[in-house]
Amino acid sequence: MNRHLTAPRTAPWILLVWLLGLVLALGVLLMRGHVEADLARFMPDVAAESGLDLPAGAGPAGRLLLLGISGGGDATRAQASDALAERLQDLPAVTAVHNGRPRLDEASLDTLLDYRYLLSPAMEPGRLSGTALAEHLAVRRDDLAASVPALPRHLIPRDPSAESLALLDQLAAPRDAPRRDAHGVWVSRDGHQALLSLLTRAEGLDLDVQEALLAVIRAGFQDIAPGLVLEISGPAAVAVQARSTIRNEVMLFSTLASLTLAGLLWWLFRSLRPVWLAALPLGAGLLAGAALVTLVFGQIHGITLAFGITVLGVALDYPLHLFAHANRPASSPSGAADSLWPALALGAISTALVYALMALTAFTGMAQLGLFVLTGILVAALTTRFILPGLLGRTGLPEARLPAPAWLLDPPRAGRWLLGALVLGALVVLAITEPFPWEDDLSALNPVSEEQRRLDRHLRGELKLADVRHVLVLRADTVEQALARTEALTPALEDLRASGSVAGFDTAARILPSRATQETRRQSLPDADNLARDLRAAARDQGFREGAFQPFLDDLESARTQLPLTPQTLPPTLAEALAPLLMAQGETWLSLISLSGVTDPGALDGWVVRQDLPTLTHVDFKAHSEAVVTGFRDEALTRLAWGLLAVTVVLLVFTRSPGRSLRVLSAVGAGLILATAALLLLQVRLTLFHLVGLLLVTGLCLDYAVFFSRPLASLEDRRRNLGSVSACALSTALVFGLLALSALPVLRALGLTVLLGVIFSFLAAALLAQASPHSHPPQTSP
Amino acid sequence: MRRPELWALLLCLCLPGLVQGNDPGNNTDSEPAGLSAVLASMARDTPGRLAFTETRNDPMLEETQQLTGHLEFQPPDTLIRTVDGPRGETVRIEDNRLTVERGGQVRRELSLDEQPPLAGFAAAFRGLMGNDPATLQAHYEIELHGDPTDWELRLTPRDRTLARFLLGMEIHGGEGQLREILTREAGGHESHMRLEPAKGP
Repeated sequence: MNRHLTAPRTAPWILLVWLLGLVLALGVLLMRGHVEADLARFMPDVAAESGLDLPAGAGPAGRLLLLGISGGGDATRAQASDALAERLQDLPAVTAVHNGRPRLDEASLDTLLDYRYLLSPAMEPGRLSGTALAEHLAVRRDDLAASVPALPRHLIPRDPSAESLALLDQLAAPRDAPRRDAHGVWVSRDGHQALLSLLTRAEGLDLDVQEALLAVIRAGFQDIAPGLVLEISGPAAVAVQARSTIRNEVMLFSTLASLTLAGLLWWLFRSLRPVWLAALPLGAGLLAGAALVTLVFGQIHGITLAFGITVLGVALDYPLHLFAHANRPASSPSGAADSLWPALALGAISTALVYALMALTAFTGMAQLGLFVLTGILVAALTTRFILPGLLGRTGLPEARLPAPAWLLDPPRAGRWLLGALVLGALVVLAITEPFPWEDDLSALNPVSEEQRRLDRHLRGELKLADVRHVLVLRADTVEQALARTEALTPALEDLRASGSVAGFDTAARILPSRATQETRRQSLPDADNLARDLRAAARDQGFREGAFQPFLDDLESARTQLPLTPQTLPPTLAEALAPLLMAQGETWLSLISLSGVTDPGALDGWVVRQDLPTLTHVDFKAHSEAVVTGFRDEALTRLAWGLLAVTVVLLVFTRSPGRSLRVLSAVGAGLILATAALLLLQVRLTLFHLVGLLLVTGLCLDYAVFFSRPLASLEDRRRNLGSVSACALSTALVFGLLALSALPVLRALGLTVLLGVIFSFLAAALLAQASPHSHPPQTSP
Repeated sequence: MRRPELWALLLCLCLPGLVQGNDPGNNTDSEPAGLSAVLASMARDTPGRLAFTETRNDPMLEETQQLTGHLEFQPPDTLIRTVDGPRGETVRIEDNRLTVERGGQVRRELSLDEQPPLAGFAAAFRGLMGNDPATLQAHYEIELHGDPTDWELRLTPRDRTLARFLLGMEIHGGEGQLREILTREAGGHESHMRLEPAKGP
């Protein structure tokens, strides 16, 4: 190979191009930079994958906030609950707030009472026949005498058949109300906490708005009841907390990692110069990666950044190698860079290849990460090659104290056998682990604290909210058709509930019967003469005064001319309750049937099939999200395989030595197998992010193996080589060891995997990738 | 357990002046002079079990109704109301639990919250019989006329939900005895109970 003997200065045009590139990247970040912190935008879009274009954040369920007030006495809590509800009701960001007080406003109640003969589910033919009236009046006569009447006494003249009771019963039916205490507000079962629920106007994933609202709620509560404690949960509150956790972790771990690496560099060289010199390729890589991701995706996710910075820490290996080799009296820094370049480039290109495959996935977070790391690694490698030597000057750096275990210079033969045995053992572990512990639940990656999740479960349970995992969807062309189909399905739903597969269901038809049903009810009202006659007879029998039920007769007369209620004419409070169950999607209408207590999803699917309705679908959001995760996992595995294949080709092409390629690949294989088996033995459930970790391990191990397999003749060179690889492995192990302590499950998964991977890769590469100590005995070096 | 909500809603129906929310029982009114003395004499002299004769006047019915039965108070807070005759029933209120028995079998078990009018009556009766002016004060605005030998208490509910249903109570007594309770409900329903110490068990 043709080389310059010494080139102490970087060519000016290279420096210019490099600086220009950095300025450009900085410009992009300043102009367009936006760090996204919403976890949902990092994860695959499950709702879209389900083929159902449901509103983001699962719609109304995502807009719900759950509030709990504790401390003080029950009267104080009730007062605080009322005051808070009153204050929140007035906020433009709040659609509705409930604390257990009657939820219908006066106007809605009046409308309901007026339309009770069209709306009441009990209004079947014969409901007001002579015999039926006689029975109703007997019950009402009892009510007048009883201390515990079935219908409040003041309603008896207007509503002898208690339609208002049947109607309100129906409207309150789908969910059990929370417990209400003597003060009339919702409280927990133990009575020590007042409860409220709140529907926000903004979507649940509009985190900036939600965060502002949460702050307003907390500040307002502080004014109202400074001595009490307010706890808030619900999807938006949880997401806001997750976002702040992500932000904090990103800050904390990038700072910690930087400090650790700086400390390590200082310790190795006893000088601060290598610290800022090493920061140069890393910084350049980071800047370039972030800029390119921003250009391609329009934003960069906080997790990408956190991940990316740590993963990119691997690129510290490049300057480390250079520093370790650049202080030899015999060669200048740029000479060292020249001689290192083939191995460095090979490592960087192989690693970049693996991440290039990852960058092509549809999983936004993964794609961002892939692009970020691949760009960063290449830029860091190029910076190390072309910029750093010029800055190192003629003398390079002081001699590094490289923590090289000497026995690895000439590893005992037994070492390889031991490693072989370990790999065999690991393969057995992999083979007998059945089933393979994949974690398909996306929420396992959720950065939300166990405490917050417990609070969410607690408030959800106390407020008795429905299951958000399963939903049945009925499609129709019009509102009327949607309601009619839902009504037609109701008896089958009752059967389903009776079978025990689900504990309950809720439909739009519960709130608003179809027009056809309302008209049938209206037409089945008895004619005025018959009714008056039957009523007179029944009233006389029970001792009611003549004319006692005139308000009833008047109401029935006006019911005869009523037009059926529609979603447009429904009172606002009810329209609001209807909206999440009946929605337009383009030209079609969706009637959503929410389910609670689904014990047997299989039976539910069977039931759906038996209905034989092409318009009916069962959506299991969790199964969908699991299918999505499984899909991405398979994709990641396939990509890993392709990546290894591509790397093999690259190795063969660059080294032109099948023997060396094989040694490198067997070291990589051994590292991966051992790391995976160790994870299994540690009882870790493997997620997508462990796979990402393994991808990273692949890159690292490639680097180590490539360096270990360099055909170096002199003992001094080999010692130096071993030293620089050891320093690299140490720095990586430190950073990822830190990461394994993170509160974010995602970072923890990555940290643990890479930590294990680095240890095994380093050993495997040292033992396997070196040419056999007996074919190149150190004594024979020239 | 959704009945409380239903009841609260039904109570709102066709009653004027619906206002959401109500005042928790934190009053600052001073206790009417003499109330303590009246309650103390009741606690000393009134037996736990009283026989009553109730006359109910109802604008919906041709005739007034006559009911007889017993009221029993067992400290600290158990109240039992037994009605004789064909429409007979036993209502037992313990703490916040309400049990209704008819014809010797339990018909319903429910929470007192679900029956605000009865809860109002229970609060008044417990306050009177349990010598508990604080409970009485928490639920009602109180006017006291007369002296311990012959007094009249006028109770007006403070809770707005209750006030929509129960307009007021007038209670007469003297010399340690509870003599009459007049209850006026919305819609013109009126009950007039005459009380005397129970004979026999």
